[in-house]
Amino acid sequence: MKRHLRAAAAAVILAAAGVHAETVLNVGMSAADVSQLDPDRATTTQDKPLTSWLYNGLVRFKPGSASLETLEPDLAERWESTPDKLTWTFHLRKGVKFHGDFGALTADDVVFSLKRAADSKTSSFSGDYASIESVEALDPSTVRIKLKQAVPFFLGLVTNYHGGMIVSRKAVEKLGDNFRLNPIGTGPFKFEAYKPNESVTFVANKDYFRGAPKIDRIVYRLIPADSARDLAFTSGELDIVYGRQDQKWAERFKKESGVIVDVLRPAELGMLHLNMTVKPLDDKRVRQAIAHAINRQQIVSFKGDLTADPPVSVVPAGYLGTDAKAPLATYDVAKAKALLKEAGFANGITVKAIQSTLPSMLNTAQILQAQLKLAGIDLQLETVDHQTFHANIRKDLSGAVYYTAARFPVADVPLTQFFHSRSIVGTPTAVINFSHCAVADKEIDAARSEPDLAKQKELWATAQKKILDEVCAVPLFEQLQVWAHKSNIDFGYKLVDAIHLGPQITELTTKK
Amino acid sequence: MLRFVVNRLLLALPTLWAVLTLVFVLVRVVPGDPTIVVLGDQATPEARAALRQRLGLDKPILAQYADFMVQIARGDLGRSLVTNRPITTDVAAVLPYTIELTLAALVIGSLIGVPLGVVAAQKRDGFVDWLARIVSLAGLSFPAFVSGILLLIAFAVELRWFPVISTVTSTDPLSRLRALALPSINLGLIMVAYVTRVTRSGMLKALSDDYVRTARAKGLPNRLVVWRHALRNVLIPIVTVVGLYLGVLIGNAVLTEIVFNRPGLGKLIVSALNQRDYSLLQGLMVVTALAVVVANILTDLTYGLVDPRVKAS
Repeated sequence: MKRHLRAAAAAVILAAAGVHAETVLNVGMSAADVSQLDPDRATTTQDKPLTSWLYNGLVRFKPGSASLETLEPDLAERWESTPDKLTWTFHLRKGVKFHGDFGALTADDVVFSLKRAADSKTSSFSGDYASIESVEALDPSTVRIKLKQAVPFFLGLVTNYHGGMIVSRKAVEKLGDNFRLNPIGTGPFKFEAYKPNESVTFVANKDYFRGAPKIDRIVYRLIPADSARDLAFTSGELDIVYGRQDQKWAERFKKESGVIVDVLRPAELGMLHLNMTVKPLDDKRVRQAIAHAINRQQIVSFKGDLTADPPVSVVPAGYLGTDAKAPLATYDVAKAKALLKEAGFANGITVKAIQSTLPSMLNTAQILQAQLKLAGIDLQLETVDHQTFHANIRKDLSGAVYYTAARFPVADVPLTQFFHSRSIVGTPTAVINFSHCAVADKEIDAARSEPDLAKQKELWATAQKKILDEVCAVPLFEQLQVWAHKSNIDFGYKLVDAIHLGPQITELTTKK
Repeated sequence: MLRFVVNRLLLALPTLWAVLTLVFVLVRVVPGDPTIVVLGDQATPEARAALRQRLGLDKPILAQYADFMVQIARGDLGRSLVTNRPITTDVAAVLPYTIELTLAALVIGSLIGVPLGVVAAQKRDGFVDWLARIVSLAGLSFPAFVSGILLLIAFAVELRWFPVISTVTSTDPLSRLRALALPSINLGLIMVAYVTRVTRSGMLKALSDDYVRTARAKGLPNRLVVWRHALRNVLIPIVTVVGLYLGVLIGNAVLTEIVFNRPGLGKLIVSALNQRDYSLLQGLMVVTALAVVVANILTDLTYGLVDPRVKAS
């Protein structure tokens, strides 16, 4: 009570003196450090939210949404495309300034940014931009992009996400490698300071084209210890905190007064990928038996229904092109045993899996192990540390691979990376097709160049059905993102989804 | 004295070489691929190979070893794989925090541990002795992260005397001290445990020695017998423990810095490990090895101060 009175008295005195008390937003993240703030290289959970405060795209996800179907203008105020959707013209908003002394945004910056995003030497997302044939500035405020072939939902590539974020050409050329931790964008907040292993500070960009932000400063604190982060949030030293993907954590903070727990999409989809080139998984009946022996509801109950959802397909729910009615195998142990017997394995089978020791992954794998045991399937887990797990599964060394991932929310991305033959691990074009699945290449490729959205969705639905029918992988659960914020924080929009894996702080965000 | 110091420094060179070689080997046998960490899990093998080449990780191992040794000889710790910042800059930014924490823990450990050990030995099996034994047992058995969280709950969350996040944001000495208090108490408690035990056992032996009996027979006051005669002879093992403790301290500093969210070498080591930042990890291990070598030299020099026989020999 005394503390509140003192704070109120201080506020009155400051207001009377005409002094503006600085509004500082303290955000706590579960990481020891940030890696980089270059949008073409920022791939980690701790880096991504920051890029959304710093940069804009030509178009943007509505704040609080991860849907591609509700995109809105950002740096481009309007755009048009040819009927074949191979040529796109964007008209830039006038009077947009980069942070610092890097001048006004021009079409040249957009050309530079998109070419940079497409270059594997400077971008981790170059593969996504491989279909771009040319990007040119028609005049200082008009950009034309030509595609080699139609791209599934092209606008997604020029959003305020990954390589779609627009950087200042002058800044990149001047700062060189140092740009990664001295980012220059056009967003509502500009970079102020980076303290290794401690914090990153941002200040309001008073020249922001949508208006000056109401928050003066954001301190992004890097707190790797869960307990310390939780205590700092409880003690009021943090306003927004990265939570734990854990039911008990969500339940505990839901009960605290003045705290709002945010459970957000896009979700990470957990799947068990079955390597169809190794015995006995090369027999479809064996893979079907595994699918029937897995009790998805039990896994979701274990994960907690506040923080996890049952899967709907091999593509996470809510992505553009997810088939919400995909035919998932029913839980039926008797049927699993019958299928094994039919395949000539009446005495059961053994499947080897390289498994990360990361606790959240290992405990799920152990549940799978127990469930499969009931059907006579011995899932042998070869546990290794998380980095070795990543290295070895890419060498095609595992029979089954339990993997969780969130991707750009369009079906093409997970379908191509996990199930297209081009992505099979151990090949020169490998991504993360652990199962050697190749049954839906035709549909995935056709959907990429299909200009009609309805037909495109049909092709993706067929691809998902074929992949599930072939049992390339068994979807297990969807893990949602968990954050929490104090009730005196108003984001200025309805926070439902977080495409950047964290709440977007905009010019409208306030702290009372 | 100068000769003594030079001798110690020369002896440290082979130790450093061995440590550097070990560091080089250890960092390369740590499993995992740093390019996955830098580029993310969606990067193509082509992009990963390009990065490996840029970082020099595709060179033969002996060439990498030669580059590493030449670089260290020049006093250059290289650049971080992840942030591309000079490692010396990162280390210089956090080293004062670690030194501050270490010194504060040493002071707390010595100021509490020595008197507690002396009094416990004097009042053997009495209340103070029991208290000293419990304190030292607790200090040794509580992992730093458990005692750290207990301190935070009590003094930062409930009483609000100290901040949960011990990051120093101002240059005001009082706020620096406030941020330093809980982490140094946490680390200092472990030090208290070590020092109390060594002091107590040393004093128990010293107090039963003939020279103490002689001193008492001469009618010297108890204060002089205990604090001047007996304690002086126990200082050698205490200094040894304090010196050796620096190694233990670095291990516990990692946990303390993480729990209290305080910048420092420990937190940097964890970050480098998580991100498979080979260069940073190498640099930090070199700095840590140097710190231990320097601490050992300082310990040797202190022997000379507390025991004239060492200087003479």
